[in-house]
Order: sequence, then C-alpha cells, then structure tokens
Amino acid sequence: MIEQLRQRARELLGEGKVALVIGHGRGSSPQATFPVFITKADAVDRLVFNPFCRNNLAVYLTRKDIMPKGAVGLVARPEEVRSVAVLVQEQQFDADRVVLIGVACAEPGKEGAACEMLKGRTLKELEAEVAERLKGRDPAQDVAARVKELEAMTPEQRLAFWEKEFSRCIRCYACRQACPMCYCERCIVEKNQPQWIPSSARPLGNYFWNVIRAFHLAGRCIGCGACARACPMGIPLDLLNAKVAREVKESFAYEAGFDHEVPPPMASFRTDDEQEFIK
Amino acid sequence: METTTAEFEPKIIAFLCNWCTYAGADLAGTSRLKYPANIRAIRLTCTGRIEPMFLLKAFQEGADAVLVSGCHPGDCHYTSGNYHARRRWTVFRKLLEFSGIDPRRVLFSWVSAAEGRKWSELVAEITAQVRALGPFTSFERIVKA
Repeated sequence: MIEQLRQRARELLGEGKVALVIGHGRGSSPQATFPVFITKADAVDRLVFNPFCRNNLAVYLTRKDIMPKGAVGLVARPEEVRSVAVLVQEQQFDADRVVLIGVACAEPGKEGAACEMLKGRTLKELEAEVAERLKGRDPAQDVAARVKELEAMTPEQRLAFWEKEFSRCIRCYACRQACPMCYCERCIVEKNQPQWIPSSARPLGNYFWNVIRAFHLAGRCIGCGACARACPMGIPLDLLNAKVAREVKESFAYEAGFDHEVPPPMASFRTDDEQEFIK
Repeated sequence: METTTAEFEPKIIAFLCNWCTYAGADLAGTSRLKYPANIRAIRLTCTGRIEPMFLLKAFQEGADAVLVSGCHPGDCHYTSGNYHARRRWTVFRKLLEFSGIDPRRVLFSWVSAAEGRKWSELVAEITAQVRALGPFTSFERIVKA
C-alpha cells in the first residue's frame, strides 16, 4: 500500500501536476508520525502511512505561508476528504487546487490495522466513497456515549463538570491551530474592541472561549478529534463538537463533509425549520 | 448580594429586533398595558444581527435570563434575517444547555409590531418563570472566580 501511495506522489510531483505533497512522515517511532511537506519526486520515500497517522493535514491548506501558487497533493484519509469538502464548500479554495491521494485505515489508532488506498480520485468520488465506508458505523461511539452521560445530568451538574474541565485550559489555542476549520484571519478571541472573550486563563474567559469555539464549528466540524488530541490539558473538546454535530444532524438532517456542492447549514435555512422552542 | 425585599427581582436582558418586537413593546407602552419592569430592552436591527456572544455577555453582566425576540417567520424586514437566526438559536441554545446553562434562562419569541398584548403577557410570564428559578448564582460563581 505504501508503495502505491509513494508512486502516486512521485507521479504528481514528477509530472508537475502539484508543487507540493503534504503527507505523514516517520517520527521517532512508528507510532509517532508527523506532517511532511515534499516538493521533489525523489523525496517521496519519506512518506509513511499507518493507523497512527492521526494529524488532520487539511489544516495546512488555508495556510498562506505554506501553500504554493499551484496545486497541492494531499494524503487524505476520510477525515481529510471531509475537511476538504467543507473548505471547498466554504469557498476557501477551488476543488482543483487540491489533488487528493485517498487513504484509509480499517481501525485508526489501532496497531496493525489494515490500511489501503481509496479508489476515488475527484473530491466528489471520494466524498461518496467515504460516506459509503462510514455507513452504519459510528467511528466516535465512545464520544457519543459520553455525550449521553452528560445529557443525563442536571444543568447545574454539567456546569460544574465543564467548570472543572475548563479550569485546566491554559489558552494556548492548540485546539484552534489543529483544526482545519479554524481559518479566520482574526479569531473572535483576538477581537478586543470590545473584548468579547477575556484573554487570561480564568474561569469566565475559558468558558466563553471553549463554548464559542464549539459553536463556530456548528455544521462544519467533521469530528476528526484533532482539537482534543492537540489539547495539552486533556480537555474533552470532542464532546462539545459531537453534541453540536448531533444537534445539526437532528435539526437540519445534515452532516458536514459529504457534499461540497450544497450550501452550508448555518448559512442557509428552510422556511419550515423547527421552532417549537420559540414562544 | 442580599436582597432586601422579600421577593427576588430577576434581571432579564431582551435583545429585540427594531422592526417587530421593539415596535410591539412600544405599542404595549402606548396602549398603557402593564408588564413587569424586569426586562432591559436592547434594540438591534434584526434577530439575524444578534451574536451568540451577546447572550453570553449578558450573563457575564449579571443577567438572570436572556430573551431574543423578533419578527415572525416571513415578516423579516430584511427578508431572511430571522430564518438565519432561528437556525443559529436552534443549535446555540442546545450547546448552552449542554454547557450547563439552564434552558429556562435562554428564551426566544416572535412578537410582531401589532402584538403589544402578546408582549406584555410574555414578559409577565417569563418574569414569573425566572423569578421562580431564582438568581443565576451558578454562573455568577464563574464570572467572579
């Protein structure tokens, strides 16, 4: 499988179809992989792929300091395919700017799990293929179960739970840096006239930041979990994201990252949307 | 702070759209309809203009509840501002609930410029409801920590 992946990258770079290939490279151990940026066809052997490749590489596609003028090749797991779908949907770049090299593992994060190349080449093909792969199985079942546990609590208990979790937040914004959808040039947390979100790592600012971050991902988060893995303090940000994603799914019958051609759910509406909560 | 009166008087921050609910509240006034003075109205152009951050800021400043009110669906002065707002609040109120804010403190309504009576009755109803809930001390704890 890895040879097929390297061959695709070699061809893309050799034929000048892309100026850069972004993929996973070997770190200090097979379990520790890190992003590699390859510009020469003879360097494709640096690419590796295994179930431990968990970084969401789509995060680099909106980085002006990294992106070359031409097209880019991206080693794309289902998570990257869905992230790219959202970014294209939000018109951050044209679909033809990114040549997707589709890959997938049967069980991400599990040692020895089988990995394979995806068949699709275009974004549209890959969206359909990824949707098919994910059909009937929820890759984040444990997260969904923990969301349900929290929902069973009283608001007071939940507030106490989040107060405790957010109390560890050091406001490093690693969650933001790791997320492909956090591409605003000026984030709300940096807006200071007025200072919407207090900037010091104190309870109120931490609460505002983590709640608003989750809300800004409504209908956009594809649930890759990069934010929660990036968090040095182990705050379960994926719970907030999963909750919001589920509400969007239940209310608007929409799941992010499967169709870049439909309007984003939070930038569109139906006249018969639910409103039983409005008096 | 200790209240000296027997009954707790809640503070409810109401974010009102200029074209419908604000005019409806005005009509309630000119019609001499009485309603509790617990509402602090903030007039904005449209419910679509109301940022989720506004609600959080109101809680930061000591609100016991917030109300967002605007034009009925189909009546938006800007055609679709309230439709967009409706989607936003559908998700945001669930997120607030999940984050520990009692949904009974986050209220929404459609009140037209002709519904002065609905406005006065609504304010009376939600004021009684929030009064029964008591002061939002759990959030105050976070604000003051």
